[in-house]
Amino acid sequence: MARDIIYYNPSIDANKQKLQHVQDIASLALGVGAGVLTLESAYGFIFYFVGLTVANFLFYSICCENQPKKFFVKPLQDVYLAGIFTNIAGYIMMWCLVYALVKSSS
Amino acid sequence: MATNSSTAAFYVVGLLLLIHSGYSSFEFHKLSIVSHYHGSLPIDIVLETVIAIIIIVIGAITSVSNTPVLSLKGEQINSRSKFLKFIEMKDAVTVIESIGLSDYEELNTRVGFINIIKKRREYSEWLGQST
Repeated sequence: MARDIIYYNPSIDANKQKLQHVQDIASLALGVGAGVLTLESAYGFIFYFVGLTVANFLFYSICCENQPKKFFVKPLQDVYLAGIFTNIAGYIMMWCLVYALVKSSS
Repeated sequence: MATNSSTAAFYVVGLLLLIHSGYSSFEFHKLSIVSHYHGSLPIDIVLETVIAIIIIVIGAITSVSNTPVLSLKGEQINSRSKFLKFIEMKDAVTVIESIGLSDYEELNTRVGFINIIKKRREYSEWLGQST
């Protein structure tokens, strides 16, 4: 019978906050990138999903030190899926802003 | 979040590359209108943008590294993990025990609610007993 693991909640919150910080910056940087590349419609969203997944993969492989179960309750779900739709607003904001600036001459 | 020199260096280089690629893209679009050019964005601008984003993301990852904590004895204690905190109770409490303070310390002590008059009275009574 598997033994129940007792979790320490402040650590869970701290780890989620760190992941959120990385995802915030990644989504804003991706938004600027999409604006600079003047991506339009579905290409912009594909760029976001691919880019954020790459950023999450970097976080997962660098920060989790090959033992993700030690830092997240459900590692794959918490790192890859949880923040993907909450950060899309910041991405679209930077995408629109930089797109308008870059294309302002045309 | 800790901001050390390597994080700042990553952010500065990434932002400079991003601004440069943005200005290049702006110039390209301006020139393509004047010269009636209908091609896609040059590959060097695309590469510069992608590299800038990767550098900024790496900078963000280095910024979340754990900082050493100061114990009550004045020693610097480093966590066993470099970036994140252990979530299992048996691993998480090792650092807390070595410092002597918990994350709930503010709730446990409640410095703002201490009744100083009562404490002074108790102290003066204790002084009166001891003499």
